[in-house]
Amino acid sequence: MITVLALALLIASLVGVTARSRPAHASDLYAASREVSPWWNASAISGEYITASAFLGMAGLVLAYGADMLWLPIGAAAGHVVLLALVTAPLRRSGAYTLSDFAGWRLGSRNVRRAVSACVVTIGWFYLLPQFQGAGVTLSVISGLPVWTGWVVVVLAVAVLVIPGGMRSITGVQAVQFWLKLIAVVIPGLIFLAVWRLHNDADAARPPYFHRTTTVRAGASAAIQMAAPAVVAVRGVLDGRRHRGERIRLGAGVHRVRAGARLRFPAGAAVPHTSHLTLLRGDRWATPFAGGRGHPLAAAYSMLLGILLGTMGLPHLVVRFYTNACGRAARRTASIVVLMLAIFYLFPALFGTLGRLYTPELLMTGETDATLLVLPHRILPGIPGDLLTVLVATGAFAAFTSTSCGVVVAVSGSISQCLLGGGLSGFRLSALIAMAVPLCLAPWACTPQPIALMTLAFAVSASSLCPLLVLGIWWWRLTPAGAGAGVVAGAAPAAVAGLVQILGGPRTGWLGMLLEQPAIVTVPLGFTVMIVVSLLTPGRVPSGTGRAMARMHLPEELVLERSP
Amino acid sequence: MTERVTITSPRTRPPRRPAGDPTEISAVQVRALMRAQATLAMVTCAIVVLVLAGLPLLFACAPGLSRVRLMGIRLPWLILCGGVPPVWVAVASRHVRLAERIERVFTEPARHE
Amino acid sequence: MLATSADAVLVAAAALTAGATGWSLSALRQRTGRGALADEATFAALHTVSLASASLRAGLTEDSARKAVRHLRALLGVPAVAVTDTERLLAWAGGGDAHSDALLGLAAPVLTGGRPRVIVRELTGCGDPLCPVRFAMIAPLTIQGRVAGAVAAYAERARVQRLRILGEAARWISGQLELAELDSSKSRLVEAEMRALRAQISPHFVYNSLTTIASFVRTDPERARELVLDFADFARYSFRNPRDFTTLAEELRSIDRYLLLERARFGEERLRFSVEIAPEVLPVAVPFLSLQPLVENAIRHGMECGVKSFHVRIVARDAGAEAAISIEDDGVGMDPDKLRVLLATDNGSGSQRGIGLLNVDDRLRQVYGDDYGLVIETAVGAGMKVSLRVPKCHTGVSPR
Repeated sequence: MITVLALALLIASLVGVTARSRPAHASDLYAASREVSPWWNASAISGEYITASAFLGMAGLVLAYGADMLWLPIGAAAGHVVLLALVTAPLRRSGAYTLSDFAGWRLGSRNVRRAVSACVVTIGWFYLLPQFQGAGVTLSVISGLPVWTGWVVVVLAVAVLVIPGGMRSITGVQAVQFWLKLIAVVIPGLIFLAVWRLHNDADAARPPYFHRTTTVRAGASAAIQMAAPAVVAVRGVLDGRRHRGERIRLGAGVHRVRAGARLRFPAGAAVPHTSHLTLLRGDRWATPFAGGRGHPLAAAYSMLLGILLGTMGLPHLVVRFYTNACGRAARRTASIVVLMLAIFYLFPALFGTLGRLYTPELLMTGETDATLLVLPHRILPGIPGDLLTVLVATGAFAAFTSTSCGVVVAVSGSISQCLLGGGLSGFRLSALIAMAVPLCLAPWACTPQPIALMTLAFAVSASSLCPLLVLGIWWWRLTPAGAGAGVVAGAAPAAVAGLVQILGGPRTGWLGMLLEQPAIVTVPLGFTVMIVVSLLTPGRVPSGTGRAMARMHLPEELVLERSP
Repeated sequence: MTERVTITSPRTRPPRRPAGDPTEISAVQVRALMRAQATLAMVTCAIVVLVLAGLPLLFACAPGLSRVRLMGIRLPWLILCGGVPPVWVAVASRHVRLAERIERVFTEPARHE
Repeated sequence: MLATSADAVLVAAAALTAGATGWSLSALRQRTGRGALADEATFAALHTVSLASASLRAGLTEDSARKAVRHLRALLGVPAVAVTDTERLLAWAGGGDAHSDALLGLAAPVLTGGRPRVIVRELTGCGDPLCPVRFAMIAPLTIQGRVAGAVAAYAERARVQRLRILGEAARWISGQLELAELDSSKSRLVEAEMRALRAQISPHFVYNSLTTIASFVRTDPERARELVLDFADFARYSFRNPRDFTTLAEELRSIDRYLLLERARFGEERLRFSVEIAPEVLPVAVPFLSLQPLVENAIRHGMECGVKSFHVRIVARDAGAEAAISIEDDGVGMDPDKLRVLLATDNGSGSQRGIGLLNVDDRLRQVYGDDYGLVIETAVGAGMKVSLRVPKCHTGVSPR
């Protein structure tokens, strides 16, 4: 497995290096002055958007929770449609590089600018946390090392990439990494489809079971729940007693395994689940809203709302549209991103279903994020499986580094601009801060699924930056006071909900649902406060509003043609 | 009768404005353009919201749909994985096409003024 | 434009205030029956003021201070008046000039702290028992909030009333100096624009390009035609308003055309160039013609001593919220001291040699502030590297 790891790292870094160097020919000036095409920039945006959680986590979520998680990819692609419809072209035409720039330019207020920067930093941290966590799980599955080594490795990798170079979200690298990720998903997907031939009983009306004799090693001490009794060969500590490979009968109910124990299940035995996952029969797993989670419809709506509107506030994405030559190119880029994401997101459902059939033991260990990494070996043992694993691991590394680097650069840019007054040393210091905070929070983040934190990042963005962008672009009567109040009123409750959730608040009932998916409350709150306070302070509409509106909405050539 | 053309010495310059200041196009025109674009954006968002709000409601109200299979795949999975993404792509490309048309219509007369 | 209207407003306000004060004073005095005398005093004061302001409008120099200080002495009615800038004594009027050496020492706290000061203990040092200079009062002169100098009044007795008068006089002088500053910045702006116009397209370049093209007309008419088109494109770009902004991409295209013409003249082998441009910074708005003069400067002066081969390297990197651009050559370089003097000159009397640099430096500072001037690394025989930074988003700046 270590060779796989090394090989994947090597390929990922080689791709990065080759994509980075540009030929510098004597006659290249004209070529060099050609702006990035929408296709290329769309690849870069998609590359930055497809996180480790999307690349690996989505399949694991489908494996664990079933049909309810299919909303996630749909919401993500829809978020880009909304971004395209409401934001891209005007934002590009405004000439603002970051969201803080936009707030400062549109409203001319230092305080609103600061509030937006604070939001950007919060969102970035919520976004980085699951990246680190996912990376930790992946590395531990591949190499068998403890989870925290994975965090440290990722943080070190990002630090090495970001700190010396200053800026590493280079368009070429990101674009190539997107294609790498897409290939790393499409090729295994197609091969699996060919081998599998749609033999599907994952959704049969029975709990998931082992299709062949399987040995499972418990990576950490945990409680597992058995759906049905089974005869298991155990080596290690189970329910407080040490076993040396003898076969014992495990009854239905909860059992405790100590780290390092090996359990050998016969073919046909029901798969035990780790305690935080609900046992789901195949038919309930495959049916929307049958998963037994509290208030599934409201939770689904809240999550969709957050993802739909939160996409436009992701700091590392918005910066990319600046690379487009004009508003029209930015719009085309956004529509291509929708296409690319639609293709990419065809696959998590497939992998989740296959995981249910071939790697159900992940439900017992809880390492569902590793589904995509384990699958190749199970479906194609031997060299082909190895090769596919290398491919998938390469994609996974590309996913960790690209998103983490992008977010760290965006967050540390905001920190250094606000607190340290810019400059390279300030940038380096704030990059360290940007990484240290989520690293310190990671052990506390006891939420079982990293994706919950991702949706929180989206919720904060949707309830603070989304109102600011949408109203700032389309509403003439927005005032700095209204914008500031709305940003704070939207972001604060969403962020507090996130912190409570990280530190272990209630997980059931309405309150639990709202803490996990606060968007359904905080988004209307952010919009309402922003509108009401703006209407209450009509005298403070910025004097440059008319000019700002004209600049954001008029096509560039109208301005261009005036010059002689 | 051909129309008269105003000619001045090249030294007569129009009053200078700050660079990139598009105030030449009147606020009324900007508002008209914005209204057209906003209407289009509203329609696009409405389609998105309709799909996103409608599908969960449909599945929640008609759990029986889940038992219907097409090519061995349950209907909700088929809709969510195969049916919705193409809708997004279509909506996005439609939006781009129409938004560019609005801009074209807006710039054409200005060009021949 | 702005400077003139601000001028007009200030002058009108000053005149109105002076007039109103004079009128109310005279009205008051007339009621007490001493009108004619007060009128006379007001007239004398205003006359002195107008005499002094004429010289102060030239700014705080030795010459202007010498002219103004006599009138100030008359206005304040003290035995001696002196004016300093932050470093030295500019002028002294009246007796007791043996004390003039000590003035800077006395004025130091005023110059650093910006608050007026009365020297309470008796001044010593001249040994003349009849010396009229016994006590000193010093008030700061400020221009836009920073201390530019001080005015000192000497008297036989220290009086609070007199200190207040001195303070008012210092404020009035400061106002005049600020107007002078406005005048000079206005003229600097005009100067910069004139230089920009001159730098846009140099007659040498036009002449050289045309003769080069002419040499191709018979041997290679197709190439000549292409070069003429390049020349036309370049010229059209160059004749735009120097206050405008353009994108880095467009500026680079203009440089490309320029280099094509220069390479036709010098030959492909002699003039080589390489570029490394991060595509992220291409849409950045830059002041129009902010890079091309730098390239032209590099070629025109780097190649002047018949260098065999010459290499220009253009790099534009993405640096977060800024774009970092550099233009480097391996030509003859320049004496750093000369360059320092050249960049320090305000009036643009520099040689043809650095006019491109000076002009770009000026305009960058005007647009983005003093932090964004050119950074030049050079030495004689060691080539030259000119670096600049441009913020990606700068309020009020838009491409085109």
